[in-house]
Amino acid sequence: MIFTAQEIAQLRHLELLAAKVVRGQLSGERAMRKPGPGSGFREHRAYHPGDALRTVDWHAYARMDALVVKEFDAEEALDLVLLQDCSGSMAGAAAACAAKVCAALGAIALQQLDRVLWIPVGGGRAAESFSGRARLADLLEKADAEASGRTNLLGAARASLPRAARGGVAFLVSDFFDPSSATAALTFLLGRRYRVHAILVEDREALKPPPLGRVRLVDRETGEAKTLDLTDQTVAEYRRSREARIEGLRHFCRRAGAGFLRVRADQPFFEIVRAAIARGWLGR
Amino acid sequence: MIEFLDPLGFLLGIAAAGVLAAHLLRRRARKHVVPFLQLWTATLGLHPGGFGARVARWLDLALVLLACALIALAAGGPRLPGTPDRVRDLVLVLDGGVSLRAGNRHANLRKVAEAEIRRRAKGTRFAVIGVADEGATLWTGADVAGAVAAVRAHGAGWTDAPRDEALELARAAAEGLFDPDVVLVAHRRGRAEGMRLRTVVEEVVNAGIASLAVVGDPESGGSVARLLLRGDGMVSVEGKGEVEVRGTAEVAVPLPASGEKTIAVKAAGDGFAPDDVAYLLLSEPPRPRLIVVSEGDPSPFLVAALLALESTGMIQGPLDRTTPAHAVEAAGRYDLLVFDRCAPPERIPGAPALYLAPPGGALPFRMGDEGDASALFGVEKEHPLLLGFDFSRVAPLRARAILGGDAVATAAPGPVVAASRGWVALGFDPDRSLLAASPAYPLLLRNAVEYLAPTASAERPEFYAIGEASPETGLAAIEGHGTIRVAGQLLGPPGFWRMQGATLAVNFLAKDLDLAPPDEPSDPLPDVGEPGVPARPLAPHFAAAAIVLLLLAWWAFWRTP
Repeated sequence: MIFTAQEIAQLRHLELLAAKVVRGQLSGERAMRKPGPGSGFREHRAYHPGDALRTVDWHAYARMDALVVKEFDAEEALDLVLLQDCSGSMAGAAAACAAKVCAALGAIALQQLDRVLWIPVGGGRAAESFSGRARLADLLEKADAEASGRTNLLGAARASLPRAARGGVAFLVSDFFDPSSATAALTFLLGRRYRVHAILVEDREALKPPPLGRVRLVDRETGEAKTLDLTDQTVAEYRRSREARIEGLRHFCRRAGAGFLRVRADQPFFEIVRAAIARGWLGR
Repeated sequence: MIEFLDPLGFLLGIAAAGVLAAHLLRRRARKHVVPFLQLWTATLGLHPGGFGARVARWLDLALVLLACALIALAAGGPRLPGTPDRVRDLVLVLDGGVSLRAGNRHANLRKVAEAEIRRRAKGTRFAVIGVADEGATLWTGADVAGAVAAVRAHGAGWTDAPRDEALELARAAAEGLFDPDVVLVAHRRGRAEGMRLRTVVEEVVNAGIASLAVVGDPESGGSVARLLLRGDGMVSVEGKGEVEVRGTAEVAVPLPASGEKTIAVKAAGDGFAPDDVAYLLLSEPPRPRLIVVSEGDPSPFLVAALLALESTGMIQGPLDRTTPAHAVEAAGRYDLLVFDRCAPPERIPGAPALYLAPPGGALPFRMGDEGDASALFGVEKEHPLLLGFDFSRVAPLRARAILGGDAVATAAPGPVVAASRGWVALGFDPDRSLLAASPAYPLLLRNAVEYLAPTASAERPEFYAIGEASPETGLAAIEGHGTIRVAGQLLGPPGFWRMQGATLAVNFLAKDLDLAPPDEPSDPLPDVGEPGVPARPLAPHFAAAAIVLLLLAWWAFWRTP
């Protein structure tokens, strides 16, 4: 099971929080701003012949001696796309963190009757669509995937997203160690009229440089290796390069109107999802 | 030269082989899996395997090998060899001069002697000789505790032991010991060290019996001078100029009304050594005691005026009273009798007396007729009795003539104020004149007291023990050879009158001063049977150095950045 009992309790709390914060704004239980069948009261208007009698507000008629009908907001389901990076570079704490975050976001969406499209990146797994609270268990099981394979965010999105996708909310939970391009997938999703939010997961233990001296660095995904003499200067350059890459990603997201959140792999998923809710990322 | 207690510890040097092996292994690159190699791409151009890296590796190896060598050396138990114990016996000659009594000098010298005993190696035999009024062998033996006890029990006296006696004692003690040292414990500037005992021990040394060390008092460093001006010759006294002294003389130096007085006294030659300590002796002028003789209660004006004199320290309190019948027996115990309007029943022998309006009786003068005294003439303004006193404002109106003595003030009946050796008389009642209520009344009485009972010179004993401290002494400093600068403050209740008559005295006679010759180079302590220097272990130092090297190597080459 991906979540412990305590984390499930935290998940329930997040669902309530999401419903409270974005009620009337989010998901299938979220009202669209047009009248229609639904449970959320919108406004009164004068009765017109042809209106169904069950829509007449008889209490208002008793007080005002005029016929008025109640209008309700229409409800429409939301498409939530979760790109979960399960590639080899995520192995360890980063993969676990990404799995929990994606599972939590998906669970919140399913609780509110939204449709969720889960797209795994790496490992050759297939994307899967979920809708309805009954599919929550399946989603949690899928999200608990082992990290393997190479990172190709764009390839995974392009292959799994239906051509007729009509837009919605998309989350990319990844370390963005994509050899091709870390931003191509974001560009692709934005082109499909999705509201895109990038959550960068950093496993700082895995990123920590080795002790000084001669070292043979081996890429976890590709197996490619390089040898170098590690000195203070080398380490400083490595850190600068890492920060520059992250800063570039942040800059791209800001310019493209996408959300960006940098989290540590050992950070509780509860905090990460709550931050996403607070930023209004679960709204349309 | 370093010696090693446990050469087997060098086997730890085998660890160097392990270090070499580790170094060779380290030359092979360690494998490290990274999530994303592209992050390191920018660093790959930073001279991998360059000259700097090679130097660092060899330096790393050198440091570790050096640390290894140090550890192996530390395990071998290195130490600096000490010197073996050597026993030399000790003859301790203790100065017992009275100058040691001053302050804590005796205690200090005893400490010096004890330290000299205790620093000797085990097995040292001691002979402790005390030299004071006579020489005495206080202790012989090899027991440290016994020698220390003998030193502690040694008292002080005059350093007057016959020279030969001290010499024989020291010689005998030295000859009975093996390779002895003779140590004289005395003032460095004291007479004993400078004149007598030093000669004694030097003769022992010259005889080839022993080596010599002179141990002075480390805290006081000098003797005490009693400041009594005795001697023969010229002495330069600050404020007084050259003073010729034959035998004993006293130099009176005026003192200020209050505060300190500093005066330099320079004696010819080297009478005072720079590290001597001298004391300034300030004598307190005696204050006369007087008694009021009256039939009933004495005049309140008179009592008030006398109390004013007492409060200023002019006379000694408390103020006593008696009747004329007891005046004779009181005369011997008081310096002055004041007859307040009463007649003495019989002649008062010896004691000076002040008679105020005496009605008659056994007076040392005759009383004349009473008459108008409102117009005074013949006032002797220069008479000591009227010093600073305007007698024209007394207005006695009626007075009786005093027949006898010197007339001080005269009116129509005759002399109304008269004075002579041993008495002063007023022919009028002060209470019936303006004198009683006058603020100058105490002044007239003071003049009378000074006239009748002048302040006597302070009585000092003929000779003070050297170093004897008086409660009324102040510290004096020696400045340069032959010059003593004394600064003192009269202790006790302050008062203008008391300070005025104080004097100080300086003794510059070398015989009595117990002062030493000028500075001489100190004799070095002999290389006596000190305990051998213990061996000094070096293993902790080697181990610490190895740890430092390893830490340095870790910081420079091994740490995780």
